Amino acid sequence: MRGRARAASSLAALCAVSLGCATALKEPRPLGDLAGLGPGNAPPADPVEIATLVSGAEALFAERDVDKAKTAVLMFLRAASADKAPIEALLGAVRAQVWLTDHETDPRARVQAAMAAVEAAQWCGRLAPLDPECDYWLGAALGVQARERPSTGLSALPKIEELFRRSAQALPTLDEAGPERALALLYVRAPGWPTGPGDPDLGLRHARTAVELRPDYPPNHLALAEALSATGDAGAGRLEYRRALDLARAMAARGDRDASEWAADAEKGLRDAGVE
Amino acid sequence: MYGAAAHAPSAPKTLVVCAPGYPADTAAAQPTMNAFAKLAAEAAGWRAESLRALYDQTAEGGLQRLAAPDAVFALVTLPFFLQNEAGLRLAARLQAVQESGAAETWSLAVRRGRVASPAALDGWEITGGAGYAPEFVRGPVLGGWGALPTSARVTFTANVLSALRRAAAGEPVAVVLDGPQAKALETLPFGPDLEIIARSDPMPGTLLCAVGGRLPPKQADEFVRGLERLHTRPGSAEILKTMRLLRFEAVDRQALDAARRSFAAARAPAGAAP
Repeated sequence: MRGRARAASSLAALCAVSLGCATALKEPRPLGDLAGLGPGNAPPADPVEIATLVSGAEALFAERDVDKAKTAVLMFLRAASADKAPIEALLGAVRAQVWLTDHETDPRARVQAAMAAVEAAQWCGRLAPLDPECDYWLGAALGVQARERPSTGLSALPKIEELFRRSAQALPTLDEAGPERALALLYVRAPGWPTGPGDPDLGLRHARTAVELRPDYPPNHLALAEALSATGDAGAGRLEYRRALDLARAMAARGDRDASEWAADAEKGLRDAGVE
Repeated sequence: MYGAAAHAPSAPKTLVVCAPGYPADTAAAQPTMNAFAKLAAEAAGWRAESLRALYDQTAEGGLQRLAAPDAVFALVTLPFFLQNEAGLRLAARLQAVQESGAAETWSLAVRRGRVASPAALDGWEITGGAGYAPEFVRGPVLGGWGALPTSARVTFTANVLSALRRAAAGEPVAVVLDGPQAKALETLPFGPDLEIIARSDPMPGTLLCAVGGRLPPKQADEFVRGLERLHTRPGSAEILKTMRLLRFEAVDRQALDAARRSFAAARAPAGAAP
């Protein structure tokens, strides 16, 4: 399996969009431009160098530090700009840029990261059109772009829905049942009928599927909690927030670098849900 | 006597946007609110940073924000306005022209063939995005059709699709729909199982109001005039589109007065003169 993707916090923000009219997808810049390769700075040609760049970028991104993630993005993209580069290089760049969109404090930097994530994901889909991970990560990138640039929401929502549906069908266990989790959040948070695809009942079904596929993954319980609350079962929602919190704390104790954020999300969910 | 001394020309002013039952939440809407506030302030001839705008999708949250002394304008749905006009001293100044039009016509959908008259709703749940203001549903929305039985419960839901599913499945649920929802009913897979049994008169949908006379009339007028020509300003189309608005125009006073009278009659205790 490719490196564990960990889109949870990004996807938790997905679809917090209003509807606007700007185009979500434009022609992406050449990969060399995205990688910041100037004249006389050729892409790597040696397969060993490419592999070293990708593994080094993975290691840097694993530290979940903003500056290191930025460096990782450039390394991923430099590797991706090579002929016959592995698709993992582009996927790594998208994952790191989506993560940066959630963790940059400067709004302009968040917008830039989101737009660059969309461009890298577009290249991923062009170079590996049958790869469900490219679909999934383009959906995630469009989601964070819609949050940072609400005017892209209108054109993005149907595309996001299609991408997540396709990846759910092709590889439902990807990113710990990420496509099902993402669909759950899409249907719970998107504007409802007839304005948008929002449908909390449908969101609940996808959240249940995500938990069935990967019951030990805290973000799946967070999504189920939110879906239960949105469909009027606040009591069951609180139980799911509690499950997510317990699982996240256990993972944090084992050294998982994302788990403390999930625990914080669960604690907030419990606070918002109020006392039973 | 208007407002506190805090509303000197340079004091910060807040526009509170409140639309219970409609999409987005405060955080998600903030970038759009920031852009709208800047645009509206500039249209009024004010410094861009002198106005901020906040969105709240709950009636409770909107009320709380409007209670703060810096809240000088409100952009609210008609049910919210009628419910809080007196309490918050809201003065309607403009109506928003939405993509679906400035006037809103409300409808009541039920399972086909189940309801022939208001009396048939005995013990039913009547739900929808306007249900947070039960008098609005009993009065302006359905008053023209007839008086609802007192046993009918008016409830709020933001999840209208789910309510329509329940109605189509035969539960004793009637669903209050706004214009776009009623228009889209036939696109639902279970749309043929439902029918519209009542329609309201057209009435304003969303109103721009001055709050509590907190702003001197000269400043309030500047702002209103600015909003009336907002749609002609460069860059306004995308922001207005994001809010699903086309422009602002003068309030249809006749339609508003009719809604106000109907609301008051529904609010009055049974047997009281309308």
